[in-house]
Order: sequence, then C-alpha cells, then structure tokens
Amino acid sequence: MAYLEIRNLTKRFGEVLALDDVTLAVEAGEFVSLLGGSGCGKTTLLRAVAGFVRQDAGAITIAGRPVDTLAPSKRDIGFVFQSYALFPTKTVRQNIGFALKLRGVSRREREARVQKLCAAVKLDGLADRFPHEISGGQQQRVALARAIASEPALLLLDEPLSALDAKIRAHLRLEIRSLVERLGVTTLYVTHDQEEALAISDRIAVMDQGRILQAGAPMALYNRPESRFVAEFIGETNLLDIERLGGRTARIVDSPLTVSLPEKLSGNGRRYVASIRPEHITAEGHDDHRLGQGRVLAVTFLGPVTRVEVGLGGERRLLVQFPSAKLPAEGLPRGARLTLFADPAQVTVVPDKDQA
Amino acid sequence: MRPRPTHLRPSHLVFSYLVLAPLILFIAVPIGAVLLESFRIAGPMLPPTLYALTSRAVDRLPAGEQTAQIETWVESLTPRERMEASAASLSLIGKPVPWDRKANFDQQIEAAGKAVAALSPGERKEFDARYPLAAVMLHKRIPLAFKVRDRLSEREFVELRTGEATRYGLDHYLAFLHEPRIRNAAVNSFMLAAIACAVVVPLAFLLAYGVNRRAVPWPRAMRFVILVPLVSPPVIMAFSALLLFGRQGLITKELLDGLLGLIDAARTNIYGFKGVVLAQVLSFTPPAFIILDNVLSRQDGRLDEAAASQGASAWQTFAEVTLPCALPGLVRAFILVFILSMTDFGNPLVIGKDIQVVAGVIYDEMIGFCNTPLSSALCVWLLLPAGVMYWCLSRLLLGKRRFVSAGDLSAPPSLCVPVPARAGLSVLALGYAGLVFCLYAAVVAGSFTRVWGQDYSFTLAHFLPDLAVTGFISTHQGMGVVWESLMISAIGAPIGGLMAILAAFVIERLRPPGGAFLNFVVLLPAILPGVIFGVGYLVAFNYPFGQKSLALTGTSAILVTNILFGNMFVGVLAARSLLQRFDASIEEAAESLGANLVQRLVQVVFPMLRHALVLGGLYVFVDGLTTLSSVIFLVSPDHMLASVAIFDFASGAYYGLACSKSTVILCLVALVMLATGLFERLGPRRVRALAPRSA
Repeated sequence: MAYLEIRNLTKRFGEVLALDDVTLAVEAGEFVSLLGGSGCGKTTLLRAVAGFVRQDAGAITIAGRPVDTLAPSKRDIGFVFQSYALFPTKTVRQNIGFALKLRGVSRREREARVQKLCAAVKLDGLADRFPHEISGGQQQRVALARAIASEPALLLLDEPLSALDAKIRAHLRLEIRSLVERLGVTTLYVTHDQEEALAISDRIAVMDQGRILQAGAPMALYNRPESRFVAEFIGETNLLDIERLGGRTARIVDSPLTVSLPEKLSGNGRRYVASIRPEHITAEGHDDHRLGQGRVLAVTFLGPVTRVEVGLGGERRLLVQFPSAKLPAEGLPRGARLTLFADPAQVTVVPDKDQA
Repeated sequence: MRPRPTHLRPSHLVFSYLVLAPLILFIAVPIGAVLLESFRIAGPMLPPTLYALTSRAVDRLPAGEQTAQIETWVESLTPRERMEASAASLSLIGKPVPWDRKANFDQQIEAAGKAVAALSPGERKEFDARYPLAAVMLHKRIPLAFKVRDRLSEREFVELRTGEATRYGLDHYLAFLHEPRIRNAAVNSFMLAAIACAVVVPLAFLLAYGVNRRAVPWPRAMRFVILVPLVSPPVIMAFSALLLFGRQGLITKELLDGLLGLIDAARTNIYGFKGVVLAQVLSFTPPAFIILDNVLSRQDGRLDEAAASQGASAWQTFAEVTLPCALPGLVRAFILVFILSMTDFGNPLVIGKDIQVVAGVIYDEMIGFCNTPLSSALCVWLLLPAGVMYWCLSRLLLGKRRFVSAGDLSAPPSLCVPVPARAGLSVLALGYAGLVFCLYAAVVAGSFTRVWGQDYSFTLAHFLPDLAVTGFISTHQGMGVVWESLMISAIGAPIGGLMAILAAFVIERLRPPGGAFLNFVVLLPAILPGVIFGVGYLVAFNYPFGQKSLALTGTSAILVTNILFGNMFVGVLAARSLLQRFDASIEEAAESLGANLVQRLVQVVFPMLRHALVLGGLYVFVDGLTTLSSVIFLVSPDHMLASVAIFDFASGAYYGLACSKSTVILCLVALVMLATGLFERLGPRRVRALAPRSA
C-alpha cells in the first residue's frame, strides 16, 4: 500500500464538479506535483488531503491511517499556502515554533529546533522580525520552515512560489526540492507552472476538469503524453492529422510517415492526432520520414537553439527547433525552402479532444 | 499618500478652498469655540483696569459737560461712598489702606478722613487727581455707561456697567475639586463606562465571531437584527426596557408581581444603576459590533487553516490567531464604548432615577443654567480618559506589530466552529436578538396602548393627539415634530452627500495645501462625542463674531448644519476609498480630452462616486431622524426635532407618545433605507471598481 492513498475522491461545489473520481497513490518519500490550469481541481484535491475540504465520496489514507473523519489538526501534515498565511502577530521565531509549542516541546529544545530550521531555510538573523518586516521570498521560507517544524508525515504545498518574482521562484524551487530530499518527507505540490513541475517533481499528475488525465515521471509525460491535453499542456508540440491504415498503424496526412497508435485504444470512432515536439523535427533524414516541404516564415534566435516557423502551404504550419550550431553561419533567411523529417519513434499518437 | 499634483491651477485652488471653507466654519470653529469657552471665566475687574475704562468712558462725555457732570456725581455721594472712593484712590496711588475695611462705617469714615489728612503734599496731589474718577468708578459707573452707551463698544458698555470682565483660566476644569456633585458624577460615569466596556466588548466580539464564522443560525439575518438599534430613535433601549422591566413593566408588574407574585414591582424593578447598565449595553453593542464585525470579516481564513495544519485545536486557533489578530479592533471598540458611555446623558436621565453622571451635569448646566464655560470644560474632561487610554493601549498592546496578513490573497474562513462552541454562540446570539426583538415589540405595542401598566386598551391617541382624553401635555404631542425632523433630514441629506463627495474629491485629487488638515477636520465629529459638537454650535453661533444678526441659534438652519457636518465624514470616507480604488488617470484622460473641472466632476467623478453620495446622504438623513446628543442643545420651541421630543417624553414618563413617535421614525427609516437599496440595485448600473483584484 502506498504511503498516501487517494481513492475515488469526488467533491462538488454546488453545480461545479471540482473532483471527479480521483485516484492517486504516492509512495513514501516521493515528490508528486499536481499540475493543471486554474479551476482544474488541483487545489481542491490538496485541501481535501489536508482536511480543509471534506470530500463527498472516496477515501484518503496517510501512512496506512484513514484520515477521512480527522480534523486537519489531527492529520499530521505540514501545509504551505500560496499567501504564506504567516501569523502576523507572531515573530518569525514564534511562527516556526508554533507547532512545537502546541506539542509541548520545552522552550530550550524549541529554541534549538527553530535555530536549526532557520539555518536550513537560510533565515539566520531574522528570527525576531515580524512577517511584515521581511521580503516575500523570506516569508515563504518561514512558511516552509513552519510547515516542516513538527516533522509531519506529509508536506502539502499550494502554489507556494506563484506570488514571487521569477528569479526568486527558480532559486527557491531548487531549495525546496533539496530540503525535501534531505528530510525524506512525502510531498504533494500544487502548481500551474509546467516548467516548475518538470523541474521539481519525481512524478507529475496532470489534472483537468476535476480528473487526473495522466500521472507519471516528467520525462514520460513529456515524451509519451496519453492525451492531446497533456501533449499541449506540457512543453510545446506540433499536432498533425493522421489517417488510419488499419490495425494500429496510421499515416500522417500529406506525408509518407507511418506511425503506430497507442496500445490501449480508447474506444472506436475516436479521432487521433500525432504529436511531434519541435526539437524532434530535423532538416535531413530518410525519405520515408519526410514530413513535408515548406518555406521559412519566421526565425527566432534563442542562443543555443533557434526556433523556426515553417509554412507547409495552406494553414498548416510547423514549429521547429534546431540547435543553433547546426544552422549555417549566416542564419536561415526568411522564405528559404526547407524539407522536414521526423523519426516515427519520436512521434506520439494521442486521442484528440472530445468531440461534441 | 501620493505626492501632490505638481501643477495646481489657480482656479482649482479657489475651488478647493470654496469647498473646504464650510468645513472650517462649521466643524473647526465650533470645536475651537468649546475649547476657548472652557477656559473663560467671568469675574470682577481689577481696580486699575476698571479705572482706565471709566476714564475712557468719561472722555466720551460731551466736552463741555465732563467737569460739571463729575462734580454733580461726586457731590451726590453719601459719606460712606466717599470713604469707599478714598480707599479706592489710595490703593490706586499705590498706598495701602491703613484702616480696617471690616469695621463699622462710622469708624471707617473717621479713619479715612485721618488717613487722607496724613498724606504728604505730593501724595495728596496724586490722591486728589484720582479721587473724582474713583468715585464715579465705584458708584456712578452705571449712569455713566448708559450716558455714553452710543460711544462705547458693546463690550466696553457691558464691562463698565457690570464691572466684570472675562479672563481665562483653569477654574472650570478644577470645579470638581470643590463641587461634590461633579465629583460624584465623575465616579458614576467612570464606573458605568468601565462596566459597559467590560460587558459590551466581549458580547459584541462573540456575536461578531459567531456571525462571521457562521456559528449562529441565520448569520445574515442575525447581523441585521444586531445592527437595527443603530438606526433607531434615541433612548429607545432605555424606555423600552422600562416598558418591560419598569415599575409598570409588563414582565415585572404583570408577570412576576401580578401573576406569579414573586416580586413587588414597585420596589424591584430596573430603575437605577442596573437599568443604565442594561440600556447602555443594548445601545452600545451595535456600534462595537460594527467595528469587530469589520475586523473579523477581513481576517484571513488561511491563518486558521495554517494553525489547524500545525496541529492547533479550534480553541488554540482562536486564542493564538483569531483573538490576537482582532486586537486592534478590540482596542477601538473598547475606546468607542468608553466614550459613548461617558458622554451618554439620555439613558441615565430616562432610566437612571437619581444616578448623576458627568454628561447629565453638562446637560443640566447647559439646559438649566446656560453655563457654557463649565459645560465646555466638562466636555473636555469627558474626552481625556478615553484619549489617554487610547494612547496607552495602542502603545502597550499594538506596538509595531501588524494584524493582517500581507498581500490580498486572503480567503474567508473555511473551517467549522466546533459543535459546543456553536451551541454556546447560538444561545447567546438568539438570546440577544430575542431580547432586542421583545424590546422593539414593546415599543410598537406601547404606541397603541392607552396607558402602559394601567390600561392596556387599544388607542390611536398617541398618533392623533386630538383623540387624547388626557389633555394637553406638550406642543410636540402631535406628529408635526416628526415632519419637522423629516424636513430637516430631507434638506440636509442631499447637501451633505454632495458636499462630502466634493470635499473627498478636493482632498484626494486636487490636494491643495492644508488638505491633510482639512481631512482631519472632517473626521473630528466622528471621534468627538455629539455633546461637544452641540455645545460648540451653541457657543459659536449664538453670537457669531459678536454679531447678533448672524446668530443661527433658534433657527432650523443650525439643526441642518449640525446634523450635516456632524455626519459628513461617512460620505467623505466612502468617497475617498472609492477614489483611491479608481485610477486617477481616468480623470487625467478626461482632462486630456479637453474636459474642464466642472465637466470632469459631472461627467467622470460624480458617476464614480454615486455610491458614496447615496451613502453619505443616507447617513445624514437617518441621523437627522435619530440623533439626540448634539441637537438637544440646539432645538428651540419653534424648531423641535422628533428625537428630542422622544427623549423629553421618555424622561417625562409619557411612554405612549415616545413609543408612537419612535414607531413612526422606525418605519420612515426602514422605508428610506429600502428605497435607497432599491435605487442602488435597480438604478443606473453601478460603476464597478476598475482596480484589478487578484484571484
């Protein structure tokens, strides 16, 4: 049995189905992100695990203990809020030491623990400040230290970095990851930022409309999306129409490239599209791998890589990413003709969006 | 504060001060007048000053008549009067009077003759020079004053006639030292304020907590019931408590005494100290509730969740997070209730029987003796304890801490209050609301009851005094006084609303020099008790700038201005907060498109501030119908207000008349608020704040 088990969780807010039969298992020490756009149910799921929201149906167990009827204070969790939610009337020291004080830890031991925690999140010398006297990044470090102070069974983070500047965000997410690794605490992390999720997680669960569409390691999600939503949501991709050839093979429209359909077909009559990442398209290759010919519409130089938009005629366009080193020194002129190829092994066929 | 616009055009400056001048005149001047008045002491003039004044007056006599007139006056003096003139002359030339001024007159007259004879020739010359005028000063001052009245200023005339002048000192402030009556009242006031605070603040906090955490049944309806007394006529709590618990009370006399025989209602009733406490608690819980409701409704629910996730129980969360974060609100509520209780004269006068309080002394001194200086000094005394306490409490409790979480990502509380606490809060809230409901029901019933406690038959006589059989009680028996109140409110409301948004616009957008000070002036009536504002109007506008013709006292204009400026701060605050939410660049855009100041106001600013206009006007309107503390000093037989009439009837035990007028006013207020609500909802579409709100 996994450390955190979420089984068939359902939650309605009036008309809105916030969680739709969600099942997820998190192993001990694992770092799992819940990723999705706003309103996808990721925060509701996290808050249900914390006990702030009571599910309508389904069950949650933490470390083998059913927690469905337990108040948040009895679930042995640490929670980090998007808005930090530091106690404004308490100093940094009192905020971090709050859980220890509640557990009756002696003053001396508390002091020592707070000292250690401050050092762990790089807050030395700020212990006697009030929350409004430190920066946003520092406030979030305090919130993190507070959440782990009681060494909880489960650490829950609700978009902890989204209120911070991009630079601090990138920096702090590495720190969170290494801190969590050091502590070995099982972590559930909510974010809408796919780059953040890719960078920080052992596994990502992509959510949409109250359901988990796909859960897996970042690489797996990126390379083998199981739905058009996941393919588009994580990274960038080109989606091409295909025509079924029978069995599990299909051919990309207007191209000799044959691809294979996923092993588990989701129902007959379902439309499929091919997803090709921009960096998997090349300017040379085997004739059978030819995607098509087109003209360069726009070129964006991004340092190590260069992004090229190629028009294939009509409305069809492809986004291609070449390593800059492989391009001619004078760059690609606009209007230049290009023939593009792709390796079928790197093409994923995914079910198209639901049709009405 | 944003910096002042760099270019303030002269026309804008003129406009600014035109808008702000009335604030100075009708808020700052009366309050300043109270302060000044409190130091004013009328008393006998010192001889040299009076001598100089006499000499000036004599100079004004027609040149030819001067010597002859003085001679006539001096010759007409009796020996005793001559002796007194000699004594005065001696002291005027700096010689001590060498005889016993308390001896009998014959001895004194003899001694005076000897003393004058004993003067050296030089002294004698000086003595003779002073003597005639000193004689006139002592004995013929009044005829002299009337003879030269046309050639003296009004003040010189009065001073010469009475021999008294005004000086300034602390005498009135120290009055309580030698007046046991005031000392006693001060002790009572302080006790009452302390008890009111001790009961009201926790009660209001628990009610606000229950309402905000949805721990009481029907929280929205509960909030409404708790707030109703705010828009009710004055002393309604005191006299409705008498209807239920008084000597003739429904519960005390009819139920406990008559039916159950448990008590003797004539001896056991609510009159006295406990009655004042009850009336004050019921009257001041709503304003304290507003403050605490506001604070609790803004508290970030995430803080509760954070505490819960840390393992805190509901009680620990309450004690460690909710309560500390509400501390500023608690301090403000405490100070507010303290001030309200200290300055409350209505409740003690109606239900307190013989309990003397400082505010009651002010009322007596003003209404009974027109003793404005003493009243003014007592007004200032009333403020002092609250001011000192506020200073101490904010230093000690609040310090440099903050009480709200940073950022605007806060969320309403999601966690439920535990069942036992819910039950307790529900019982408390239902009990409170039930009591308030019973008291209002008694008022409505009382307005249709012939004689409460004696004859419970139905009558309309309290509404239509022509039907009354009891005969004439007061000229204000009829509903005319309610219409007068209504008229004054109806005049004041639109002017008040309009002036409020204009003042807010000037303070917030044009920012003329001195704007910050004027902002403070606008808020003064919010902080200062109504008693001061009323006494101030009386002092300042009875004899404004020494011109009787400018007097506002006795007119309805003084009532309108008093109510208007006393409540303008509501509209100003609302308009300023709206203006702060709207980007100033909207108006700059209008200006860049060629709009002048008037067009900018009419086309852009007024539509944005519609809500503030309505709110400010409504506040003036409701206050005009219900206020007592300041207007009670300003009404006159010709211009009476219903609220004052209600107070008079209630303190005179004419409960039927007090009830009928209260019922009518309650209906009027309800109607107007309903109409305003409908207008706000159905009228032209509300302008939404353009300020972005993060999710």
